[in-house]
Amino acid sequence: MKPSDITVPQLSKQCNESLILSVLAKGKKHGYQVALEVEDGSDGFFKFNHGTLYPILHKLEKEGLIKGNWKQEGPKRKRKYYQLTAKGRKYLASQKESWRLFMERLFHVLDEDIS
Amino acid sequence: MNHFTRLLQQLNDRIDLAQPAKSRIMLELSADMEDCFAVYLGRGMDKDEAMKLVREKFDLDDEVLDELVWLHKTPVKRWMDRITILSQTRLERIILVLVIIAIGMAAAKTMGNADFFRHASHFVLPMLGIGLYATVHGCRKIFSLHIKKDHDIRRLHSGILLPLVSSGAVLLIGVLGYFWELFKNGDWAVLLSAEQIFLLNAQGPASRHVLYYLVEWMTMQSATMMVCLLICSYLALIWYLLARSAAKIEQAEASYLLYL
Repeated sequence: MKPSDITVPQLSKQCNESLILSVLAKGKKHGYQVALEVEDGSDGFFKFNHGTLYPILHKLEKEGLIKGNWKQEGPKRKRKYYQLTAKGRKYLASQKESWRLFMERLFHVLDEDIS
Repeated sequence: MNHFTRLLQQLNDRIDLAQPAKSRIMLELSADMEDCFAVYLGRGMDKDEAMKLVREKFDLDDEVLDELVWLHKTPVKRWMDRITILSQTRLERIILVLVIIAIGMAAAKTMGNADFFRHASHFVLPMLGIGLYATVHGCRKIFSLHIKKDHDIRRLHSGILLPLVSSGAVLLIGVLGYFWELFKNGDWAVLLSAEQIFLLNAQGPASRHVLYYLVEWMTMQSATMMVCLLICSYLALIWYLLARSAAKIEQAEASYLLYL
């Protein structure tokens, strides 16, 4: 079995990264749209604190998993749109697999505990 | 006009980053705040409630800001930002270097002559001292603005006026020296009528004395005034560049924060 990349100490961070990447896999979005879609998509279960959103977005951009582009919207309004890169798409696929493995192991332990 | 100018200004003060990285973060935050505000209004909240919620949501704590700063302060990013800034003002910098070299060469050519300082009055010494002090001060300020990237709004304009004030002081000393050397002997009447004496009877012994005196004074003052005007121009140029740099930094920050 392939070991999961998900680690318990980094759980929250890795979860947030995966959520952001999965939202961006659907198309380019700006920061607030990402937060809003995560919130709406999870029926309010995952609420993005903006304190965590920007460092993660900027970190993912720095790692080349997402790409930020500035767009002029109106005469005095500029927006930064993020989109998934090919590298990000690959990483997201591997993260999905890692989350599956993580959940399997978690439920394996939980089920044993319950039984 | 942004609805969250105050919060943005507070965040701007707390983000210890150089431009343009800082402006980009502020711009992103500003646009997202406005969107978040619009969404809350769309959900039926009143304006005050929506603004309060947005402020709470976007009031980033120190840990988050430190993380952002850390992310943007890697050596490669710093280098890239410096290159960006250099490319933006490349022409200005080339012109600046050429002007300074031209002034320096003109000054060096004239002042490099040993006779120059022998002829100049003692008034050049305080002028050179002031010029040197203001130049060192100007270099420190340029270092602070462009290398250290200290764009704190409270310190941005501090010390910028000093080269200009120094330039004025040098000019004042030069003019004072001009008249002092002319009238230091107190022989006012003779000197004031020197022109007539020179024109009417340049061959007389008294006239020759005045003539000799005037030529000596003119030689001395041409050297002194040359030093004076060179230092004045040089210091005024330093002031102009510093003031322009500060204004550009301020303008960029203000436009990003308040109007975008």
